[in-house]
Amino acid sequence: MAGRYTLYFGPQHPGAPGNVGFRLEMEGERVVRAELIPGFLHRGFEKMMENRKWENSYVLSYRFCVEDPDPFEVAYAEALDMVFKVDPPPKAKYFRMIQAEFSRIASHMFWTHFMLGSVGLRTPAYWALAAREEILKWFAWVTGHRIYHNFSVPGGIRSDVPQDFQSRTLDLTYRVEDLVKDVEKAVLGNRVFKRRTRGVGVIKGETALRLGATGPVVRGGGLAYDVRKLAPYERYDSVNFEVPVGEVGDAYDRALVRFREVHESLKIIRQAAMEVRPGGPYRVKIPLTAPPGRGYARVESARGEYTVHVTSVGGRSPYRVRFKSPSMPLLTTVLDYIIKNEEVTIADFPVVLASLDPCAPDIDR
Amino acid sequence: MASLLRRLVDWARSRSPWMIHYCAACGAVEFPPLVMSPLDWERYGYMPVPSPRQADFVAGMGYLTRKTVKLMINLFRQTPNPKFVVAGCNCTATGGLYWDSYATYKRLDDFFTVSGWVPGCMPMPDDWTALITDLRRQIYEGLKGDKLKDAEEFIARVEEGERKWREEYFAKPQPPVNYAFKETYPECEERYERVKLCVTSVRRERLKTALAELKEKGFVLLSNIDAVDYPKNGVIELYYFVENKDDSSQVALKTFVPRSEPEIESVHDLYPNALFIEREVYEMMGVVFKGHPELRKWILDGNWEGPPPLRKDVDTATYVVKTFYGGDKYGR
Amino acid sequence: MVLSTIAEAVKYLFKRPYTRLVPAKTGPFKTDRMRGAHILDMSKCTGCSMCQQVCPANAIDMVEVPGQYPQNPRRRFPRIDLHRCTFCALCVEYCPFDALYMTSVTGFELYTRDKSTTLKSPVELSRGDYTLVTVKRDLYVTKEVKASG
Ligand code: SF4
Ligand code: SF4
Repeated sequence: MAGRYTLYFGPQHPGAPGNVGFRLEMEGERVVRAELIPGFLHRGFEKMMENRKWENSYVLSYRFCVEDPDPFEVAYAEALDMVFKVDPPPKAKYFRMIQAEFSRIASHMFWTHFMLGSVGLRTPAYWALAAREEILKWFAWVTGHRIYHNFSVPGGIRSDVPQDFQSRTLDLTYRVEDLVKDVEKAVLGNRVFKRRTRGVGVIKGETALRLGATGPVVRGGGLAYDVRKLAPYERYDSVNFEVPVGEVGDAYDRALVRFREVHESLKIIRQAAMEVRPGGPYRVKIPLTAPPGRGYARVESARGEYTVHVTSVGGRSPYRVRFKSPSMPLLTTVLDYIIKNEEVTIADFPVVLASLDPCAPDIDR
Repeated sequence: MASLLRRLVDWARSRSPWMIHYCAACGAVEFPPLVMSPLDWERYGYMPVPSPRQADFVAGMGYLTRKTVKLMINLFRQTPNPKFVVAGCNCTATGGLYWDSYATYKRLDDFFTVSGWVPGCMPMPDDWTALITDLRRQIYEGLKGDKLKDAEEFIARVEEGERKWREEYFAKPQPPVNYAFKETYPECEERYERVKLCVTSVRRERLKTALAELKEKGFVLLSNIDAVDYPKNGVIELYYFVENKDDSSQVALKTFVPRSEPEIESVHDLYPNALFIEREVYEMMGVVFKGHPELRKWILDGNWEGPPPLRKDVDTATYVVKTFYGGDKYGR
Repeated sequence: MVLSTIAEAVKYLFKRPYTRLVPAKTGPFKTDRMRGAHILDMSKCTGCSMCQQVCPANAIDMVEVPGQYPQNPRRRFPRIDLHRCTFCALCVEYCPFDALYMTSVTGFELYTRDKSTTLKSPVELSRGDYTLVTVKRDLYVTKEVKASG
């Protein structure tokens, strides 16, 4: 057995999940301890929010997870709805759901490309990115930007939807579904993929929850824990969908859960798109100054539960805004648990990382 | 003859500029569409390479946090000559939306000479292509490599100033406590049905017992810890959000610590992820968690040397404008 | 089995390539709602500096311009730094006099080797191409959009 040594992994490393680093303690091939080195993406959102006004602070609210910005945007809009005590029109609520679900699919497809990169199965990754590309085009068409959509604002949505919104959205869901099905078949049925992921990175749902994680990591471990069902926001109470769960809680199960989630999201989008027609109210204007009080929102992002806590003492700016980071427990406590409980070699380490699907900027904010 | 040879070399160089595979910031999210489908980078001879030793150019892909800049300087040093720097995104050029962020440097050309800029927030894959196409053209026309400017000295000066500020800040006397607080635990004092949140107050001495009780009742997930600073009242309010594993209802335990003595018991033995959230609150707010095994800077390490930035009486925006924009808020 | 991947891959061999063969100047990345560079209507702007107030990126500052503008006696007009703007369209939305628009001019059309050229003075801003306008005060001019790419 080789002696102990320290290895730095990332941030400039194709296997690192974005711009974060790790200090690995190694024993031969085996990783015995992984310490996260965050901060490469820290911008200080919570402070910057305090320098902005109510009406323009939401431009910052979604920028800390580029892969999956919309749940964050929706959450901040919701929290401000609560501060200003306004109730957005139903159409806006349905639109926000569509936006958040498309973002989830885009994020899962992005994850697919990343995961397949780490197991060395590059071909389906191209198709996954094509599916994501279709969604980004849709976003650019509706909201005017591919990544940062800036569309869910406090009080509703920013603008009315285009005339052919319903038909194009439905059309897109079928196109995406085709692509996703191909990717799914090519990935989940592949023996190499199975070998690389079965029994790797095992964590049970309840354990993960106790470690602070939520989202696909918990659901992959067999616990149907989803804020969309348990504490429905927007109009999630009025649509039909299931919460897919895995059994063992290994990397394969998490992949399975994510692919199933994509199909559930498409289901939600199809139901919600029926309620969004051009014309009619879509936005309640909010005043420039807020009443003192509290705003709180909980949404299910692609990486787990995300919460915003807004403290208002009146005036034109938020007094304090606090975000929860859904990815932080994934790379700290959950990763720790996995490394302690099974033999993770350096070759498997990127696979474990990718299967947890952390979003680096959201740890740092 | 020699000039012909040089032109040949420039031509060859311009055919395949390789980029360091370093996803420095949010602009990197538009690279997969560029590298893979639908733009398929490699057919032009571009490629992301894992090692700076193989690379030809470095791309600034968005906001430059201070830690990232140090790393980029390092990467740039390791890249063989001639090497080029290009910049996409607005935050790279002027600070962009993060003009008042205490943790970013504002301009890439403070550190390197830069060969091309593409604005956008963020630029689309096409725009990145335009950027690199023009870099190619410039190389073909005989562009000399980009250079590192005198960066270390600037960085050291900024960090020295912040350290001094930190010392001054902690030497200041704290305002006296003037704060009304009533313990309501276990009753809710505010209840929000839709988000299933119940806010209740507890004194800081009893916080840990209260959390242990809640954990017994099924609130096994520590969702977040919020700290709100009230310099006028001389206190920092703390909110511990815990979540029930069965119905996902949440309880926010509100407590406070005086600013003169911001200490509270660590709860990492009840909730393992508190270890990291507490560390974050410590560096951002300056709240000391007693019994925490590793209470040192984490996210701010390398990014910020000054006083805890989220304190209300730490005016980072003014500081940033003064230090990085020369006092002009709209300056470049 | 590995074969399943290969079988799917073979299927893709016979499809039309998804890759854009010739990335043309206006490819499918651009839409009719794209938020891009601004146009300032100098005959409407009153210099109220509302846009400056609302801009989250502090990209707008007010500068004085020579000339005669009856509606704007102090001759103060917004100057926009396109290298600082985040293209959020808040300034367009909050302008009470409907003097600002956005066009689909973004990214590669603004590419520059010298970044001081993207600081657009009011006069430069007012010279934009009105046929490319995508965003107006009530947001998004185009209600009906042709399918693209
Ligand atoms: S679009 Fe947004 S960031 Fe740009 S100038 Fe207008 S308000 Fe400022
Ligand atoms: S552009 Fe509009 S908001 Fe800005 S100063 Fe002129 S009139 Fe006022």
